[in-house]
Parts: sequence; C-alpha cells; structure tokens
Amino acid sequence: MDYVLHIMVIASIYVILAMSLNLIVGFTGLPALGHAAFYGIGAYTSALLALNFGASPWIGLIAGAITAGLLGFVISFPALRLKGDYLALATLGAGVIVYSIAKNWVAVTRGPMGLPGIPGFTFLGYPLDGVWAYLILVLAFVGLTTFVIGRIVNSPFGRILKAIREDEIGTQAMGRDVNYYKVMVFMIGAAFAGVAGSLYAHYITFIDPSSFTLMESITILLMVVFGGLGSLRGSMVGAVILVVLPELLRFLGMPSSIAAPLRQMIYGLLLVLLMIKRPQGLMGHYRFK
Amino acid sequence: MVQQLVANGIIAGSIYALIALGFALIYRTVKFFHFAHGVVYTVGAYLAYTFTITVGIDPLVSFFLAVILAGVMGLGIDRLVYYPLRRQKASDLIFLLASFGIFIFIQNLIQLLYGAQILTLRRGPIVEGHHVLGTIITNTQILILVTSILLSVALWLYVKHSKLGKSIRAVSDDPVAASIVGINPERVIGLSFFIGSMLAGAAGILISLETNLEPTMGFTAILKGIIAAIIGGIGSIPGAVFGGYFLGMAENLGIWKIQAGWKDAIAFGILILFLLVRPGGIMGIPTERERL
Amino acid sequence: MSTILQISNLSKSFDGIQALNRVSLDLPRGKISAVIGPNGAGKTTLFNVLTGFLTPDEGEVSLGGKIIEDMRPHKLALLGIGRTFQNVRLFAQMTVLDNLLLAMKNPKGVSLWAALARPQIMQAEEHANRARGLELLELFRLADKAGELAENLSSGQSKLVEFARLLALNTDILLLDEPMAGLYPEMIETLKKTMQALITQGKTILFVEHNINVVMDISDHIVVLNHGQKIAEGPPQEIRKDEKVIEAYLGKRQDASA
Repeated sequence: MDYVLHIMVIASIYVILAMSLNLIVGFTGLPALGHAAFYGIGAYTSALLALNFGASPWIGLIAGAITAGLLGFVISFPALRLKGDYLALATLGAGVIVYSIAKNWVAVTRGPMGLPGIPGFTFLGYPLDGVWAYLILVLAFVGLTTFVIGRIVNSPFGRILKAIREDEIGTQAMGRDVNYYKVMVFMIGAAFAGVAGSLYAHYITFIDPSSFTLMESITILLMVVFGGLGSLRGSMVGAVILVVLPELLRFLGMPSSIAAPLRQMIYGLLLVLLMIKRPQGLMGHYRFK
Repeated sequence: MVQQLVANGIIAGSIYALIALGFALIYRTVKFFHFAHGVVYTVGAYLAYTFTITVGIDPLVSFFLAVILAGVMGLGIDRLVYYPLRRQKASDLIFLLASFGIFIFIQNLIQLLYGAQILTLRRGPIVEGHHVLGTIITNTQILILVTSILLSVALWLYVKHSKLGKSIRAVSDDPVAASIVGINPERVIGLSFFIGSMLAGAAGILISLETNLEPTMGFTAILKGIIAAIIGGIGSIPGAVFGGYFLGMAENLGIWKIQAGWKDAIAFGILILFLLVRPGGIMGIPTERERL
Repeated sequence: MSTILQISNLSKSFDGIQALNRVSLDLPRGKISAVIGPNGAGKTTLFNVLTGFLTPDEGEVSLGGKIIEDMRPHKLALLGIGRTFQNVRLFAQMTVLDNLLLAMKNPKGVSLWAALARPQIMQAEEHANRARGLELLELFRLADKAGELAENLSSGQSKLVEFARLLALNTDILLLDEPMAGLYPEMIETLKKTMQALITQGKTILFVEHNINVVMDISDHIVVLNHGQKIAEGPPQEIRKDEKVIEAYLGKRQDASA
C-alpha cells in the first residue's frame, strides 16, 4: 500500500513540474529545456537551509520558490532574444550549468555525494511521517498550482501569453510588452518548479545532482507534450501516466539494470511516435510552431 | 602545464571538429538540430568494439565497417523518422524533440545490450607518449589529430568540387530552385546524412581508442559538436572545424586554474555568450533581415 | 495645417541595399495621407521603422513636436501609432473577439494580481470590452463571427477583422499597409467610408496602397517613394501631373497591367 502511495506522491510532484513547465512551453510557446534546474535549485535551497540552519521545511519551501523564481528571471533573458531551437539550446545550456554547479561546488552541495538526512515536513508541530500524510501535503500543493496557473491562463494576462505563442510581432503591435510577459512566465513557472523541488527533497530526505539532469528536463517536457501543450488537465494526465507506466515494468519482476534503460527507451520511443503521429498530445490543440 | 593543456585542447578539438562537421553538413540540407547525431557517434564506437573485441576481426577492417554502418544508421534515422516529419512540414522544434527521442531510445538500447559499465578498445599496455615541445603526446592522439584534419580537408574539397557536393550546396541555399534544375533534394539529404553520420562514427571510434566507451558518451559529444558548429557559424564547413578547435582549446585552457569538472559549464557559458552576442558565429555574418 | 508626426532624415539599409534614404515627411493631423511607389520603394520599411519593428540607421521621428526616444514597438502602439500588416497578422488560433480584446486597454484586468485575487474587477472590465468589441465587429457585419477562430476566416474577412482590431487599439494615428488589397469592390467602398468617418473623429491615417483610384479618391496628401527616396509629395492633383512620378510609378504600373 505504501508503495502505491509513494508512486502517487512522486506522480503529484511531477504534476506540479509539468503544469509549471506547461505555463512556459505550452501556453506561452517558449521552448524551455532547463526545467530541472529550477526543480533542483528549489530542492537544494530548501535542503541546505534545513541542514545548515535548522530552518523549517516551510521556510525552505518559500525560499526555494524564491531562488528558483530568481533563476527563472536570469534564464528568461535568452528568451528575450532567441527563438525556437536556439532558445531550446540556450535553456538546455543553462540547465547544464546549474547541474554542473550542483556537482562541482562540493563545499556547499557536497557534489556527487549528495545531501543525506534532510528533515521531513511538520504540520502544526506534528511531523508528517506517514506516506499518506505526505500525499495530502503534496496534493494540497497540486491544488494550489492548479488554482494559480489556471487563473493565470484563463485571464486577460493569459490571453496575452497565448497571443505571444501565436505571433510575437502582432502582440507587440497591440501595445503589449512581450518581454515583460516572458520574464514573468519564466519566474512563475520556475517558482512552482522550486516548490516541487522542496517537496521532493523533504520527502525523499536525500538529494544529489543526478535527480536534476537534462534527462529530467526532457522527461518533464515529454509529460507536457504527451498530455498536450496548453492543457493543464493534459499535464496532470501526462505526468501520472509517465510516472506509473514504467512502474509496471517493476511488477513484471525485471531487475533495475533492465527496467531502468527500458523505461528510458519507452520514453524515447513515445517522444518519436508523438512527434510523428500526434504532436498536439492527448488533450492539446496547439502544436509547436 | 600550459603546453600540455594546449595539446589536450587540440586533441579534444579534433574530435569536436569531426562531430561538428557531420552535424553542420546535415544541418545545411535539413536546417534543424539533429541531436541524435550524438548517438550515431556512440553506435560507431560500440560497433567497432563488437567487431574487434567480441568478434575478433582485424581492427582496420572493423573500423571501416563500423564507419560505414554508422553512415547507414544515420540514413535510416532520416528515412524512418525525419522523412515522415518533412512530409508533414513539421516545425524545427518537432524535429528537435523527435531527435531527442531517437537519442534516448538508442542510447538506452545500447545500455541494455552492453551494460552501463565502461568498456575499452585499447589492447595491450599503455605505451608512453612522445615528448614534443614540453608535452606528452601518444600515438593515438597523433592518429586522432591526423585523421580529423584529413577528413575535414577531404570533406571540404568534396563539398566544394564534386558534383554531389555542389548539389548539397544548391539544396541548402534554395531547395526549390535546386529541384527545378533537376536535383532531387531527398537524395541530397540522404547523402548528407550518410556522410555526416560516417564522420560521427569515425569520431566515436577515435575517442574510444584514446579513452573509453560508455553508453552515455554521445551526449556530451553532441552538445560539444553543436556548440562548436554554432561558434563557427552554423552550417559552415570550415566554421565547424574552427569552432571545434576553438571549443577544445577554450575548455582546456579554462580549467587551467579551476577543476576539470567545470568543462561543461565553460562550454555552455561560451555557447550562451555566442547565442546572445553573436548568434551568426565567428564565420557567419549577423544580418538583420526584414522580419515582417 | 498642423503636423502630428514629423519624420526627418530616416535611413535604413539591409545588406547594402538602401531601403530608405534620408526620407523626411510631415504627416498632417486629421488627414488621410497615402504612400505610393513601385515595389521595393521602401513603403513597408517605412511602416516598420515607424512602428518600431526596425531600427533606423539614422534619422528621427517626432510625435506632436516631441522626439520619440523609445522606439520599441509596444511603446509606439501605446503612444498612439497603430498599424495593420501587408500580410494580415491575426492570432490564428484565437477567436475573432479575443483578437479584438487583445488590442483593447484593460489596465485593471490585465495584471496578475487581478487574475489571482480580483476576478470581479477583471470581469467588469472584460464585460465592457466585449461589448465594445462586438460593436466594432458589427461595423463590418462580422459580429456573428465573434466566436470563430481567426484561422477559419476568409482572407477578406481576416483583413476586416484586422482593421477592426486596429480600431479596438484606438490609436490617434493609423498606418494601413495595403488595406484594399484582396477586397470586393463593395467592401472597398465601405472601407473608404470608414476611413473618412475616422478622420471626422479626429484620427490621422497614413496608408500604403496599390489601387491608385482609391489613393487619388480619398487622399488629402500623397507621398511618392522610389528606391528608398522621396521623389514627390503633394495633393492628388499635383501628383497626377508630376513627371517623375509618372516615369517612376504610374508608367511602370501601366506597363505591368498592359
């Protein structure tokens, strides 16, 4: 039972990641390939505050959201000048640089040794030790993310985001400062990814750079594309399916030396087939331009 | 110390140049980022390993075979995945994502078949290198350098002078006009995938003579190849070679005072700098076209 | 006659081709002015510079006597210089009404804060804007298309929606890039009347047009460009007689239509 709950916690964390990336990629049309960097900086900020200063995970979560948001601010700059493949490459590069810092700045992050013993969340003084208690906590954040991002994309603000996705030049001609919206979208999307990182760090209690690689960014992007660009419900479905599906391999009794690459092979094949057969994903209407 | 770093930079640059060269050649005709080029490099190395170590064929013959098969594989990727996308007039990003998919699929297939551990193509004890100008250079490194230069020059001459090479240029400049004068763009695209992928395969084999093979080796390699191609001015043949050596030197001199682990960060730092400041690369001329 | 927009010595070149060569002109307030000239004369480049999509190599633009320092496109739109595009640019995968709503000012509702915490303020503004949008669409008898995706419109309808969207933007100066191209004759008449009606509301229009009859018919002032240079300027009756214009533009046009 705990195993099923555990998978649900992980799936929920990916739902937050996928929805926050969908805001950037799906609703605004900016191909960002460095989402794991925001996820990672949220996790590290929160974990380091707890380990070095004994800060409450709640403080860490807020701090993680803020540092991730600031990183989003920095990474949004390439988005002001670059488009398409080149933007994808620049954000990918930013992700690699952040990963590199986590791996090489050993004095702070302990590098590849990672950070063990991260304390868990507490609620009104009670530690959340059961997996079910964590699930409720994470689901509450899924609810918050859905509310905030849902409100944003269905507002006049969100309409401008979709206009940017359609035609940047046309949007500027309407008197809208495209750069402002791009920066905001990166900051908001990054902040939610930071929240996901903090939830992950305090749940697993150990983090190392290997959880925040480029492959992780591509996996999150795959969830978004699979569910459908510009569809929040799609991101939920996409994240849940892509987390649960590979777990089925484990039920077949495969050793992890086979299950791990097989899982990635499924992801890779799925990405290729999606692009050829259904680039708008399960629930989306919009395709990459 | 500095001399050794320069020498290392030149060797690394030779490999980057070969990858960038194939990547640039393909980019010229299809105009999207063929990320899976990196996994062709990996496959080249693993094929060479299989032929020489597992089967026990003569190394030269098996390297030759592996290079040809890498070319065939590139061609296969184009026919199976990119060709249907071209027919749908898919956007560059769809090509890029599909390319990621191919990369992930094949890389993990290799891991499934050969395991995640490091393998080596080297046989016998490590021979001490030659002392040249205060540096130590091994025979393998000389081989890498010479092969890389020879292949670069050969490709450059081929694209510049042969009939097929000229048709590659025609298709990259204006595919519609090229088809009007009777050049079949699909044939030219296939050719550029074949040649470009052979170069990637060759690079993969050369590097595994020098270091090791592992399933993930193509990942950093293609990233460096793309960075080199962009530094040199994307799609330019001499630019790709120049970019490869530039990147190799910059990375190796960059770690003069800091740890070697920062190499990737340096490479991407250079990339982002180039993208923002001089997106046309060193050889390309940045132009402001009418966007409306 | 007062000048609303003063353009002085604008130059712009691409890859060695001089698209605009020291062009100066004064746009009279509350009038219809036209820019004509053969293909490649620099008309669209002029529009792109005036709306901030291209940065001029030299020269400056003054609005109401003040030099415009910040020539970013959205700033110019907010300052009151709006435009349509030669190749209609609608937001294809959005509804016709959403296209208009994007152009309308919504200072209260557009903020993130409103989206998250003040939906009632946002909705009040939206409501008023929707009503206004439908009114504008009705001008062109397109109100029934309000919920249609822009990509499903015919090319003539798209053109009119783009014009309605420019009216929704509500700028003092309207730059129209070939507004008549591809329209039915009766639609051309409607559009001419609409342009004249806008003038009576105090708007200023500058338009590029190949339909010379329309230009001669409704323009108060005509500017002729050729190879990036201004070769003539004046009221229609003078332009009609100008030797240089006949040679550069009208002559060529007759050849082309022959």
